[in-house]
Amino acid sequence: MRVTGNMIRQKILNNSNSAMERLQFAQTQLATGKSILKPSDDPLSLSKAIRTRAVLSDNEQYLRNIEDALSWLENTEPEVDAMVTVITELKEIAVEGASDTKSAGQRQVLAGQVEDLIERLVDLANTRYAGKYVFAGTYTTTPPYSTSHAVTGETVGFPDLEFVDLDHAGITGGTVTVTGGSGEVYTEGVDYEIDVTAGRIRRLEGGTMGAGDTYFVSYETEGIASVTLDVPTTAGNLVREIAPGLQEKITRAARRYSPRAWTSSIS
Amino acid sequence: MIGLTAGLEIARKALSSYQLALSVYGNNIANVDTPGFSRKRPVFGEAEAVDLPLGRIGLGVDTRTIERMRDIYLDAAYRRENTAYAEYESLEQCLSEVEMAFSEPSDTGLGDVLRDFWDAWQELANQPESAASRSYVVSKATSLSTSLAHTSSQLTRMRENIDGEIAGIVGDINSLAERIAALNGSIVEAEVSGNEAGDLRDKRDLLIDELSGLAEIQVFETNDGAASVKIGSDSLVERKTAVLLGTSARGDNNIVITDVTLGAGDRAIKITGGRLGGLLQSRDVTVPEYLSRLDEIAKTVVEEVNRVHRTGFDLTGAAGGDFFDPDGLTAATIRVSDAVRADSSLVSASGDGTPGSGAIALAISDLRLAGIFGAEGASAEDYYASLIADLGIEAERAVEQKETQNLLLTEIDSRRESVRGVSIDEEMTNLVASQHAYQAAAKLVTVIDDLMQTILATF
Repeated sequence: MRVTGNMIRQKILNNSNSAMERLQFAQTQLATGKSILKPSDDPLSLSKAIRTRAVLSDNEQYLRNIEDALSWLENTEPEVDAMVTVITELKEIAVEGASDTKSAGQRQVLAGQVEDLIERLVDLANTRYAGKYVFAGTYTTTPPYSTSHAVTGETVGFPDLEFVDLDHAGITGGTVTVTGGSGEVYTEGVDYEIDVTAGRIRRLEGGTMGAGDTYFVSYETEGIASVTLDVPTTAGNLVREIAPGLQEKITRAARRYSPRAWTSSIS
Repeated sequence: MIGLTAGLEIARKALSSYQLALSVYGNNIANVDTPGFSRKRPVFGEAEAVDLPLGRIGLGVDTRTIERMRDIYLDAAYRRENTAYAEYESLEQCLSEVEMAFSEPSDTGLGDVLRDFWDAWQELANQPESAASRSYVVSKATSLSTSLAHTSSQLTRMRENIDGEIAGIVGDINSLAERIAALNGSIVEAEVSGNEAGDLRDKRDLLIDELSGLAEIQVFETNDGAASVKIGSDSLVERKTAVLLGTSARGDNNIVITDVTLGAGDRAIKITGGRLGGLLQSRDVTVPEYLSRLDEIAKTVVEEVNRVHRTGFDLTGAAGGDFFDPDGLTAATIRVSDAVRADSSLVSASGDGTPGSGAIALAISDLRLAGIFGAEGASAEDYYASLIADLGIEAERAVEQKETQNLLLTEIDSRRESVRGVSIDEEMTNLVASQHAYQAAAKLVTVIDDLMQTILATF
């Protein structure tokens, strides 16, 4: 084959060019620390790398989720511990109060202690962490336990038109219902008048209520501190919703001599 | 025995032949680096002989012709391979630009933005009532839309740039066609005498070589030396006339693109091969393919996230609306709905209306694992990974094809060079040989002169 100077020159140039290209590629790899600079360098490895990075990123997120949940639980634990302490104290008071040697006055003092502990328990149950109510299930933005006290069916009678004291003062307006023995409902302002602040009720003249009959009054109080425990019929519910339609009801049946004053049920 | 004057005539012919040879070799040496130059070679022949009693004897040398060293088969092969090389080269350029648009592998590519988006929903599932988590989801969704729109606009701009280049190449083709047509005229005129117009043919061959890099062409030479060039099935150069290409604009996917037409008739013609063929392929097939896959990601994300989002409840417990604007179903138009952007409490994370439920946020994050992307039902990561893999494979193949084609082209060009190229060594040798021959012929003149003197002195 005839070989001309041009051919030789061209060949040298081509070879040196492709060597320089490889050199440049290697130098870029060195400078960036990456073996794959663009997809065409190694498409299959890159696609594996992308999938691996996705898995890695998923796992990093899972770790963050776990840390989140852990710190949540870690912050919940002391509150539960504190509750256990309160409940232990309550049990001790109950045992103490169950003794026949206690006078009414001493029991009254114990009842006051129970009231304080109930309030403490409710406070603990309403603990917040990172702006969320810890024991509220998914209703994290509203306090799960309210300190109000519900009274159902307190019996009253109205011999005359004077005010009769109810068991509790500090009643929440609009929560009062008055029913008769056969379930008939009476109307405020027409049949009876109520003084919510003082916790008093009286029959109105011209209403349909009779003088000798027994009536049942249901209402809620503002704050548990207003509970006076020496009335045997006092009962209240602490209700919280765990999930839609699923309520946990803590029924408080304040019977004077029973050591088991609180029951919890899920309905 | 022939006469002395006939001997002088032989010497004269030899002198003029070798003088011509020296000019031809000199011209070859002078054009050693001229692009497209084919070396020339004087072809000598023995002059007509006379019959003598003892046999025939030639009456010196004749220069028959000046031969242009060229192999038309190699020319045809070079052009064919050059067409393919130029096509692969432009495809490779295009794919390399698409690769840049996706900027993978990197920590800022679309893949990472997508992952951040899904992760943000998990963060929201952890803290569904937190305003910060809600803003985070909205901000990551905005990053995703921005990133998709950016990549999409880069690809669209690429199509526009390619389109601009197509118009430029049509101009180049026209200019080459006109010059080839003009040279056809000159060659036919110059070759009427029967001599090959080597210089003009060199120029024309160079132009045809150049044209073969722009589009697939076929070249036929007529008996009188004119070259007609066909592009596809249409005539581009017919003897002295060039049929010029034109362009006509049409809208396509929100941009204006150019169709190549033939002449003033505005008849669109199909062009394959060469740089123009490669650009048309890039503009009409390659880039739109990746654009449509981006759109597929955008469409699936918008539709599926909205579908799940609507089944949830926002922070206030109201039923969820659309998270993304339901009208923005392409990568260019995807956007978080105005309402959600204005008020992140409208992000519905809750599965039951309670503020602490993150069931829907988790379900949205889980969409990345559901096989909802593309016709074959891939997960988000798989779809994206295979998009990048396909791009890589296509680009890798283009690089390989270009390189193989380049080797082939270099090899053919080197064989062509072997035929037509000027070798200085060879020309020097030829020069020395011609010089010696010239000197010998001059010596012949002296000898005959001496002989004549001798004869004249005898009388």
